[in-house]
Amino acid sequence: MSLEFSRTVTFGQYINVDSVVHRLDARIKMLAVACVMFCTFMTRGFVSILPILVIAVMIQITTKIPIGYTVRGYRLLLRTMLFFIPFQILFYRAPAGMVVEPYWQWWILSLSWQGIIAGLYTLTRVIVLYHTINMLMFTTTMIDLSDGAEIMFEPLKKLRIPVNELVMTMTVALKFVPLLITELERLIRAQTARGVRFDQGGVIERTKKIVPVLIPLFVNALNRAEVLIVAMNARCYHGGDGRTKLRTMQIIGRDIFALSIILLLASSAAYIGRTYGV
Amino acid sequence: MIHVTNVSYDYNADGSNPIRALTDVSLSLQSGELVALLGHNGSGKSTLAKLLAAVMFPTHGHISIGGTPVTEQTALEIRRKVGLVFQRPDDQLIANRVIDDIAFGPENLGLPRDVIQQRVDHAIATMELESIRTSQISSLSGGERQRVAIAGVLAMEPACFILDEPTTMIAPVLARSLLRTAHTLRDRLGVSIIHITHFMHEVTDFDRIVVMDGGRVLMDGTPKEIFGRSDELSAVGLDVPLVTKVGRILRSRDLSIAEPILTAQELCTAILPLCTNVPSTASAHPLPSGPRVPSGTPFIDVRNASFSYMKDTPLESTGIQDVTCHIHRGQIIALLGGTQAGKSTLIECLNGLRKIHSGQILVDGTDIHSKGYDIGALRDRIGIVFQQPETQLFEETVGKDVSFSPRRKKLSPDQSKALVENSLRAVGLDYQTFRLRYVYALSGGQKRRVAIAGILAGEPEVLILDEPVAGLDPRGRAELATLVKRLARELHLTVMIVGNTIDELAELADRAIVMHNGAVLLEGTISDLLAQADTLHAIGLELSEAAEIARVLKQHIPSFPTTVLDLEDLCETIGRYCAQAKE
Repeated sequence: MSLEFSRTVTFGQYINVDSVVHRLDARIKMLAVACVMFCTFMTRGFVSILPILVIAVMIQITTKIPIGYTVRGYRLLLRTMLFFIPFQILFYRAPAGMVVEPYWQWWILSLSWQGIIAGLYTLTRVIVLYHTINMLMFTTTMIDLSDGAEIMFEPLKKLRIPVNELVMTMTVALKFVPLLITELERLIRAQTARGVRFDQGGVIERTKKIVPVLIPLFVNALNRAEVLIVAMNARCYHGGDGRTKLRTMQIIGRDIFALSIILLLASSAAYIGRTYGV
Repeated sequence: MIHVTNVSYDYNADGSNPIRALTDVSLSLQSGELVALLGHNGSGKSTLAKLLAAVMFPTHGHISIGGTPVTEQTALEIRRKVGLVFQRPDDQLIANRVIDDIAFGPENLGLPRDVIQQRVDHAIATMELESIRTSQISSLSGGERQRVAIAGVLAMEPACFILDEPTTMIAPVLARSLLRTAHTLRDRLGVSIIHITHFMHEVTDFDRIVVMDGGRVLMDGTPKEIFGRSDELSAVGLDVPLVTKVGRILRSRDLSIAEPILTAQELCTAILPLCTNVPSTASAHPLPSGPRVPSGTPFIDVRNASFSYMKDTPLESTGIQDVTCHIHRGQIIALLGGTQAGKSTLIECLNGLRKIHSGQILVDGTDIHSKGYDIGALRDRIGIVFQQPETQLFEETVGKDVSFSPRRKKLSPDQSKALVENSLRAVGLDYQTFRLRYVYALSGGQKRRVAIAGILAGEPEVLILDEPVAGLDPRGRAELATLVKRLARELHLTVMIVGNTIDELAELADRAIVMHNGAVLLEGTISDLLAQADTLHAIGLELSEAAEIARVLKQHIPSFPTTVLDLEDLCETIGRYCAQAKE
């Protein structure tokens, strides 16, 4: 088994290469992702999802992130999906008015060409959704995301929702993720060195083995959190009131251009899906 | 600028069981002063620092900073004036990128954007962070993180910096550069700096030293005054720098040296006129060489091993590169190198925790990555005590944690008990007393002993200790060093000691391997290595205090040997160089 989680778990990782996508305004990227996700849900089949796939490929190319690295991150997702998709295929029910000739049928289970297509289409949708969010994370730093979110959710302050504090909490929580992963790797290595085999045994046995790792992990995390509170206080943090920001966000020509292309493609996907149902 | 008047502090002051940390402390510090706060763990120095930075408030007494009394109401104003740098930079870095973290403080102060920008730029320039200003903090080295942490405080433009034991956890070479930074900040910006530390040799060029013990101020004066009172210091278990001891010893041997000597440079100036017996050729007194590489099949045979982190990703970085080395049964090996040298990576490859990407590792002649090799059995044979192993303890009680391996191997209760008892005894802990103690209630040094006992209970053939004394205070270091020495001699195991200093532990070694940038740079006995002191110094490998003094002396007396191991050796050699003055 690999003891380098950070190598195989690519989700949420920021990849520091310079590309146009990296330089786009975080708010634009978040809007674009929301739009792509929404429109993906409006598609009805492989024809209508085609424009979305074009977007996905375009983003992949322009980010300059090696395709191999992106694909590696999808292994876990694919494995999970390969477990669920057969169910969807076997339980496929044709929409009213459609004639289906199944290859095989038993009770409510059946295997048909339409069922297989529907299963593959679902798989494509899930991958596209995952890919879009993944690309946002690959190309946008946490601080950009949280700054963007802070501005976009600004109106919620009127409803007395403490937007700044929530965003700060999120930022700090996310700061801990790489630290905790490193810590987890360190603890698992130490346990492995003491003879524990994390790659052997059944589910229950494996779960039991994980407990001794989690205890020191939590104890260390709590200690760290306590020190961090003191550190934030010492640096004069006192909530969002009266706080100013070094960073500005400005939407420029290329942001509008990028968003327009994506809007155009995504809405055409939604239109085709709604109108023709394919 | 800072006035502390009759301050006492109790932890848990409101509770039924208050614990006194400071008693009646009074102290005045001028602006622009470079002050060291010295003392053992529990002497109250960190508590005092937190009171000064207004993150805690005195139970009794009064503190004022720049005329402002420290109270909960003025806390924000005080925190703006007093910047606190923590022991571990990871504890205080908040943002993901360098520039954003430095801006965090000024943003909290509510400054206008252009002012923040200006301050951040200034802090970046002062701390020489230009090249990494937009880097992710998680990708930085320990030294860089520390500089970012200081820059973050600097950007708040405090009048006073408090450095809370920043040198305890880091490699000596980083500690030195941190201290240089402290001096620069004081000289260039005129801020006062309070540096809290355990280590005497760091503070010999400070303006002032305040020694604390048991929650009180014990001494307060210039380094010359403080280190001149070495008897009083040793009465509370504190030590003077080694070079000061050398001065005293030489003086007791009738060499006319003014006391106290504080730096190697001073020692040099003092003995130069007395050196009348300088041999013209280099070292005529080589140390006896230790045993050479034994012949026969090595126990562990590493051949051209390479490993990269995050291989095949955009974040790939080299761990070790083309490493070849041999470890023979029964030897004590020192694996030495500065930071990022690849030492820890190498030991993790030795028992297959990390799988090398090219090359071979043979144990008893068999490739550990060959098909069907029982890697689990290998891990039982190679016991690794990782860095700061105390953070990896997971059972409730000492007995349970130490018996983990015997229980896992399903040994009989009797066998298991015997192993635990022996292992605890080996690390100097009594079985009956400690068996049922809660792990989390132990002191740092005790926890580390328990962790070592846990590895010993697995009955390894090879014991690898990764920086066994790092992160402890001098008392803890000395105790643990004694323990490791005893283990290495008495247990008849093959022992590998990993470290970044040629210290008393490294000196036990039959053979030393020096790594740099993931590759093996030098190999030989410790005295072979010491002969190349300048090379070692250049790659960030710290010499023992004695060897470092010798290295400085050599710059003025070219024939002076750097192959000295300890105080005794050094005094002996200097004595020989000044032989005629003695008569």
